[in-house]
Amino acid sequence: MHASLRAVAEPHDEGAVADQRASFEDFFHAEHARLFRALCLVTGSRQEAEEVAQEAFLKLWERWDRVSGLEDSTAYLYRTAMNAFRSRYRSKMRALKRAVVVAPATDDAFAAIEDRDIVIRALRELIPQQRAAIVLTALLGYSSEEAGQMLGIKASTVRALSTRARTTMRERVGEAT
Amino acid sequence: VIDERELFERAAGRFDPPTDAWDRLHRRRDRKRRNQRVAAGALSLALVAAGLGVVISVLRDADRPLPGGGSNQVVRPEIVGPCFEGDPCFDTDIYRIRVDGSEFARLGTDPARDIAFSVSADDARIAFHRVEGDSASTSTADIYTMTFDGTDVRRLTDDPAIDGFPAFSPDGTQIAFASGRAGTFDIFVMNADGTDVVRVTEFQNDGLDDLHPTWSPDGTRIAFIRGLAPPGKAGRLWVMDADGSDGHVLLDEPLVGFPAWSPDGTRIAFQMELASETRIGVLELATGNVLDLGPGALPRWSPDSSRLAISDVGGGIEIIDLADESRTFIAGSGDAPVWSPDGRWIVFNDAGLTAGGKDAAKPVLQAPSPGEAIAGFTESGIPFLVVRHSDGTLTAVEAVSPHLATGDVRKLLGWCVSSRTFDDKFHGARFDEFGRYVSGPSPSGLVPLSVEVVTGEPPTFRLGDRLPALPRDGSGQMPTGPLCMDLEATPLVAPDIAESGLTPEELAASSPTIGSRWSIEGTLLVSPGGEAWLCASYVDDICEAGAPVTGPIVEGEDELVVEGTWFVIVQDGQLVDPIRAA
Repeated sequence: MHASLRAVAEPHDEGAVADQRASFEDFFHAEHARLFRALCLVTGSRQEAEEVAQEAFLKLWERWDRVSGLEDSTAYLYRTAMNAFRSRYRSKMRALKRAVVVAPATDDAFAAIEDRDIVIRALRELIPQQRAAIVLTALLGYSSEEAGQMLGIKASTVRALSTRARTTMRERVGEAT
Repeated sequence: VIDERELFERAAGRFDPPTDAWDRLHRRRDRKRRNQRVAAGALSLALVAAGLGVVISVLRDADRPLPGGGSNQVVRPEIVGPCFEGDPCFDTDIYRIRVDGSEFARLGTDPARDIAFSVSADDARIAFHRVEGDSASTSTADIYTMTFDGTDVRRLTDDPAIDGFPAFSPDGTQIAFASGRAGTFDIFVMNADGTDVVRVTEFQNDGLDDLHPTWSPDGTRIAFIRGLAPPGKAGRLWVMDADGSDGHVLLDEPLVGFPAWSPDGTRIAFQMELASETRIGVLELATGNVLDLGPGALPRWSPDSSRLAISDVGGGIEIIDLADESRTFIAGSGDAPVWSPDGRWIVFNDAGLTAGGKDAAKPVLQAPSPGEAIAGFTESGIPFLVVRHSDGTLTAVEAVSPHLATGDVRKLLGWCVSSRTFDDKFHGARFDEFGRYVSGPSPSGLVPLSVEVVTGEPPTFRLGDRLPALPRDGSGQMPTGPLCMDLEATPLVAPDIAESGLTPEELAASSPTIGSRWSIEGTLLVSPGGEAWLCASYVDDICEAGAPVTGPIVEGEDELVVEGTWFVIVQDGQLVDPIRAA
């Protein structure tokens, strides 16, 4: 049997691929700035925020055929970003064994960036976990349950973290004003 | 009064997003795809030229970097350390999994690297090649068969050259394979017991390799791949009569590999390099049309020709239903899937399960008995445990530890364990009342590990008390190094219960029940056994900045005597007793 040979085809539906890409690009432009800003507050670093945002968007892009069908792809984006944020901090911990200085973290980039804003200054006082909780709830308006899902913790823990963060920030803001 | 949200909006507004973010994302995606292509190419190269499967997990690693950047390493407690590709201890063995994921078994434990390629239709013997040697230059491979239970292993070839890619004839009486014994690779056929070896491809000495034979369902012809020897990549799809006559090209595409003739005789599936990506193609013999089924490698037909089992780009195994091209994920780790004759099982090989471990007396998914746990990695590399409590209940927990970065599961077991619902592909893995794996996307990557899981009430203690028990790993050693806090336990601050927003019930629910972990807001000093760590700040459940504290330590100066097994809490520079919730 001799088959009539034909060149291997590209994926059949090029139009669908183009639509997917356009759809994702729209999503990116609609969501990037907001996510980036939130991550700046959470991570304390513009560079870190952009890295996390890129990582999250890339993951969504690779799964866009499924993610775009989700009821709330924005929540999925933030959840992916928060996972990336957590993973990156876990990675940082690898170097921990070499740490010898008993002192508060010195790599908090808040020290190197916007230092004038009272809220940003107050956020510096918080542990990143608290920052994430309060940014998700206070800035982005997610419920404790939703934020808990994004952070992989219980809603009650989110509430506790937010409350603690709020208390600290209130004190700092109060002092400053 | 300024609205809180407005404050945050104002703060966030100070950060202008980079204007080239979209372009950067593009470049990042391109870079990742390039890496995947390199890995995919390495797969073919490794299979054909560099020792037949030494690096069979490269696809997995490229797409799914695990913590520490290593391979899918899982370490048994009794083994000294993790094994990486190229290490003498690196191993692949053969497993089988029910297509519905309900059962799973390991079929071999030989330290050589076994890769199955065919299952006979008559008595379901598995034909595989076994690679021995630690490098491409010293590796050799021979053909073996064994029963579907992994017993009665028989060596069929014993040639210093590489013999690989065995394929049972449809009636099970013969095996076609590729061998380099004549210089370049050629197709040979022998009886199923290894006798009467006959070379069937004797083309002109043009330096081409003949590889990856697959029989037509009537047993009269063999399709195979014919390509350039160096660099050993895949070639064109050829077909010939089973005696080697009438050989000719069937598909004039240069980068095709691992053909599989459908049992109904109408199609040949294969992997192909298309747009620098490894994808699954299906050639319809009647029309010559090639159907592109998307990314994947090493396709094998179900007995009814309706589905293909493939190695996916993530290093796992998927099944493609040809009716609608839908994909079903069945194993998170594994390569080279082959169907059993009854279509109920997939035989495959995997390295992650056995890396570093040669003791497979126990099945991979043995039920964890009290005091034991099963450990594995989720798809995105999060290590987790399935633990059995003294009351018989089972819990899937995430294991978080600094040591995950090095893949040293021993050190994270029993320590820094927090309950969590998984949203990865392992989410939904279920176990029956005996702890046996019931269903779920993939049990692959799980390895039983012996740990002491402290159950029941968390120990209460006061400063100076000796803890009654602490988690130990399988060798009885205390975990060392920086410690973790339990996310769920973070709010355990008694003086501020009212202000924390937690009800007593919530606090009780947050109390750790696995292992003995305590965390207190503020600075934490923990001594798990001879080594104390002063944690100055933490991220998530991880101590972000800390240092070991040794020597005589005096209260009030952030120092404590560290002797034996202690938990000590320092809060706001003052030593405080641990406080138990509820």
